[in-house]
Amino acid sequence: MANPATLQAEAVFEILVRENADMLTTYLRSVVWRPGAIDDLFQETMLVAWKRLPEYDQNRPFGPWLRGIAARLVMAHSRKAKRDLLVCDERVLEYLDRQLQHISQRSGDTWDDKLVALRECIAALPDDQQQTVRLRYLEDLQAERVASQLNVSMEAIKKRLQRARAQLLDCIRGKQMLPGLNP
Amino acid sequence: MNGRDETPLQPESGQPAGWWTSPISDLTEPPFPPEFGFDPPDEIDGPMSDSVRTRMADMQLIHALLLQLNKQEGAGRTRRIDRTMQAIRVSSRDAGETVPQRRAWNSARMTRRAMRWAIAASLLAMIAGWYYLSAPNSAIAALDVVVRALDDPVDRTYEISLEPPGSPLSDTASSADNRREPEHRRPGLDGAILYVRRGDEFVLYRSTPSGHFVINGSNGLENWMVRPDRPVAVSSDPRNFRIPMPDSVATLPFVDIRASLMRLRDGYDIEELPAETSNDGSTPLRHLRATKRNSSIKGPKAVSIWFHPTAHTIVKIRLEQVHLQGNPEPRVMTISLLSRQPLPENWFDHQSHHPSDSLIESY
Repeated sequence: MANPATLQAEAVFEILVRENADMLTTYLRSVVWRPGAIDDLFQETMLVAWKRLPEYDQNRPFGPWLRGIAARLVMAHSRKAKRDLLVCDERVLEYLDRQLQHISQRSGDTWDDKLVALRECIAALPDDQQQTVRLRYLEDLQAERVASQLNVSMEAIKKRLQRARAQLLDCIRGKQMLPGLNP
Repeated sequence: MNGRDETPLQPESGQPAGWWTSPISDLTEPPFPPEFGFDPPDEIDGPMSDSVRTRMADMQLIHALLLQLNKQEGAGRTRRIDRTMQAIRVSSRDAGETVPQRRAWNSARMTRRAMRWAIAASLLAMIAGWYYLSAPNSAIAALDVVVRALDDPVDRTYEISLEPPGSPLSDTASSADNRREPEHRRPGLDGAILYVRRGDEFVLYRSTPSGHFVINGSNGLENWMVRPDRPVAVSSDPRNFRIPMPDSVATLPFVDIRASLMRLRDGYDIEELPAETSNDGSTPLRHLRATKRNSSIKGPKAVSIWFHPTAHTIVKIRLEQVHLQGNPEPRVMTISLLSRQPLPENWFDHQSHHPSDSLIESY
């Protein structure tokens, strides 16, 4: 049976897990496409963080430390199962780390609160892109189902999504949800 | 980094929105599911400039952020956190025994298997009396008391594993509807997570090779099934959308467990074997073993139930020689208790597992 101190430490760590779960999931999804691999890496990242908690510098934010662990696990995973990954190398991971840190520092109690700008940008998309994004992402339909529902080709759906993502990127940068463009 | 510019990536300026779409979309067939709209990194690795790499990273980030808005994200988040905390609790109980990183990275399922005994042991600390045994010296009496204790409303979470694991495509004993699914969309039982309340409410999460979830369940009034890209199927007929195992197995540990245990008493010889010590040296678990009296009786060849000697908590059920549809070889199925944490009140309603405006089809 675990001692009370361990139980208390677990309870506190669970708060950290819950507070950082969405951020970490977003980070992993930015570089890994296979859902099973994302779940595995999520669990492993938190496990490693738990085991290395004594090494954690409490004067520094927890999120970047967690992403640092995740980045090492992702790179290790890429050596075994590269096909699980999207475009990913150390510089991409560092770049994404900075983007997520920027989002983390936005106002809002929850990760969802910090994504308000993204919701606003979706609402501002042209109708066809907005409809496609809603079906694909908010409703979690696969592209072929979206194509069928909207009666357009898969290629058209793919291009709409690509254009929508590009437009959303510009929009959320305009709202300072992500760092602005360099001069 | 291989002689490349080590300058940290920066957002690219001056590019019109959508510029990224044309050159890359002409590449060869992507390895990702087509709905991603992403193209293979292999094709653009190497000569890819920093600006292209940055743009790809931006697009992948937008993709990830959009996925966070998915209406089903809440359920996935809960599942992800619960599994993680379970592994952490095991890890902290298992001091001195390090999970090999290589295996852990390979698969969380491998980790869970390696930790199964430890999970069971650690849960004992959190569990207060489940099944009360009034006659510890009698296997039959022990089973009878288990049967009488079945109205416990406490929520339970189990993990299902199969040995040998086999193909995830072949370990499901499901309906004709499932067999019509393409292979990459067929869910497997190995690694499935089962949530149970009382004797007739359940939710079963199974994953497909393509990484999607097929969820079926019952709130005791309606049986239902949630599949990717399909309307939610709901039926008041308790024969529909049941746990996809042979009847003799499905009813054994979960649904109508009372009848199943009664059948055990009727069709099986029950004995109590010597207590077994788990890997972490904690209290030995009592072990009831039921062996089928003859082959005319449907069901697994033997059923083992392990429970704590004083708390009387069932920690594991093992079913030997289970025949699953699509797999000629009998398998060993183990159902391990992961948690008795209370689940949300509406967890067993289908509405908790799909967007509120999903299409519903009644059967």
